[in-house]
Amino acid sequence: MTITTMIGKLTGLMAVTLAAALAPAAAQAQIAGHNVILVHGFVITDLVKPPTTAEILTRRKMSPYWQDRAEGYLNWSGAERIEGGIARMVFEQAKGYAAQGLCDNGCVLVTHSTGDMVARYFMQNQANWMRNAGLKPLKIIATLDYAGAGGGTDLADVAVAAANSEYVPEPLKWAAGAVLGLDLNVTDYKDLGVVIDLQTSVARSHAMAPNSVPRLRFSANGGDLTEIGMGQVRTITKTMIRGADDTVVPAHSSCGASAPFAIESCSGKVAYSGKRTTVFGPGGLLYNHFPVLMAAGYDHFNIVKDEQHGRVTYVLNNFMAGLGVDFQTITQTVTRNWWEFWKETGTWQYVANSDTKSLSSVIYDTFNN
Amino acid sequence: MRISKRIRYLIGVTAVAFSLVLLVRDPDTRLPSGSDTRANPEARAGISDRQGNDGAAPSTGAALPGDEVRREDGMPAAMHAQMADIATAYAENARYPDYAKPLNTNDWNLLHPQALVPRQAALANAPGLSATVVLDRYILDRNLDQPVQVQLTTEPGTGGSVSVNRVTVWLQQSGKRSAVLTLAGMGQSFQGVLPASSLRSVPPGETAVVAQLELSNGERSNVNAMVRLYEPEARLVRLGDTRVDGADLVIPASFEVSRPGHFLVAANLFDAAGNEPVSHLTAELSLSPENRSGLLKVHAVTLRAKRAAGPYVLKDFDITRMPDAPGDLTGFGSAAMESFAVRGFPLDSYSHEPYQDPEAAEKLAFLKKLAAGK
Repeated sequence: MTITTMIGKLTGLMAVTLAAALAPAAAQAQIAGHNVILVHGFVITDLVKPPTTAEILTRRKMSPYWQDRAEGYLNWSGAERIEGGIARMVFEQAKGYAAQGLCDNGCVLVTHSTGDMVARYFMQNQANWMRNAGLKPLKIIATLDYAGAGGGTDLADVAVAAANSEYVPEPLKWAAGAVLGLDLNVTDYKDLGVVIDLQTSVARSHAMAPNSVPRLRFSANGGDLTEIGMGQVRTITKTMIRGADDTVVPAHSSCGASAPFAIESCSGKVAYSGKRTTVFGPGGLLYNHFPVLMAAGYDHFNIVKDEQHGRVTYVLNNFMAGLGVDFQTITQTVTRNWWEFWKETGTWQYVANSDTKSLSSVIYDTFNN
Repeated sequence: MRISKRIRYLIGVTAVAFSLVLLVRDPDTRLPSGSDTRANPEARAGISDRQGNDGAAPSTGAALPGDEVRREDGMPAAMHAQMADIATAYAENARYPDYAKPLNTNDWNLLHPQALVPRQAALANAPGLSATVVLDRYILDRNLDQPVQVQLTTEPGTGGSVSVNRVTVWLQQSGKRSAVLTLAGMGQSFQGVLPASSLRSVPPGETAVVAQLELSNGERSNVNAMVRLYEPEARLVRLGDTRVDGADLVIPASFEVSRPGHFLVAANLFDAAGNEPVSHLTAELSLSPENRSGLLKVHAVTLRAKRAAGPYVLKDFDITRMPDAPGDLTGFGSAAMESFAVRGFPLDSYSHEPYQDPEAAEKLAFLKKLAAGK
């Protein structure tokens, strides 16, 4: 068998796999009439065992809830870099959707974690790439970003530093390694794949040009405790991330804040708990990034699942300062007698039904009613 | 003995009172098994509704009080109001072209292009002492000297007695090292300038700036910052005479181009008099050694919104060559000067047609649909 024949067979195999992976699921649901494409987050096992192309194309890493509501997937491997294999893999899938016309009526991307950065990079470059490929760019109408990591995370900063230096304190090295499933004492930083792109400076250097796609952000601040079999301990990654975080991503990233500061909320007026109070929020937001909901009980992983973890609050940001939007609110006020020293007083605001439904179903039901 | 009895009496009364308080505490504040108290502040603190009916607290998971606002379709009005607010904000953003967005003092990312976000690193062999390597940018031109600083922080209360006597810095990439630079300074801050010759001694690409600290206890410790070194593929060398073209202020730009490609040229326009931010400009230009010029534009809608007739200053350049194909690396460019003067014109020199963003209408319709709930 000649090399040309082998390449031909391999190309054919890949095309068949791609076609199978891209075969659209029966369009079971859309968001406000638009098809949904899912962009999953970082899969840690990718670093230990890089997936094959076939595995990447057929993987379903977002929650079953969103899988049931999606028409397409842009999958990728965490062992690759944004500007390398990730861009190639995502574009291959996008070309299939462009040929199918899946987004001719406009698609909504639903992203989780690093999927935020993957989507941003793709959206900034796809017009040129599609044009060069003789195809029409996918029309992306909006994104819903869960726990978006597009602003980078301190965990990646520590992981890369740990892989680069023997002087990083062992507990930090262990904790960052545990998150990635690696021993950072023996890992070369170049083997960290997309984690290198998740360093705060690096993430914020990728595809940051303003564009017209509205990005709706959903941010969590939970996961304080981790079950270790003998009970619960404070989640160690929380101690490594500046400001509020969901155990993996800091609030400045998931909220879409303009600056990488250690903010404690997506709003200066409402805490993650829903309490109306003055809090260190973002001074500005990335262009067309809009934090919508915050949740103190959800963490980085369960925020995208159909699980209920306490009430969620909406972000009182007054995006258009000076417009004087008069929010109709759902509030509860706590008062206390003088001896009830344990009570926290104040006013909390919540999204109706979030006490009984998952954050995802609150979003979907709200947007799709 | 009488004092002792009184003390016992007081303790007893306090204990009884405390027990009563615990007993009368709203039973609904007891959480069902597995509930997350941290996520539900009302669950750990008795909550009343907006009328202040203290003690009538709903339990976690119970329905909200009757004063909550809902629409008939079951969607909370607050969510609608928020989505309506977002749609309004989006519509306001869409009034301005992507090529000339209004620039404000809180646009940190636009005002600090390609920023290096410093990381404060704890040192394994100097408890309580942290070091931070600070450079101007994450993406660095190999042809320019680069200031570098190492800042030290001692965590209060750690009793850290270790200090730093000397700091040296070098670049390191794939086993290659630049010459070592000794920083000047003492105490909490050491600084120096990495010469272009050092930057050019390692290949372009991701590179570690390694700072080695010689500690007062005789040990050494390393901290590093990652940067990305580049060889400029296009260089902004000159701005031509500005002119008014309809509703746009047009700024001709000339480049030296060493690698042809599709470049995204971004820069910030400031009012020269007050140094107030006016607009973030972006232009997609196809540049090559044969085609070395392009136009930056500012729409009058932005200039009028900022009440900025000029003259202006253009700076904070962020020039990138976009990848031609997926998998290609982004290239970078630079500017010959830190800033360029830009002539302005009276605001009534521009025509008054509003900017229409052809791509925004459908997205705005989507947001409005979410706000309407239909």
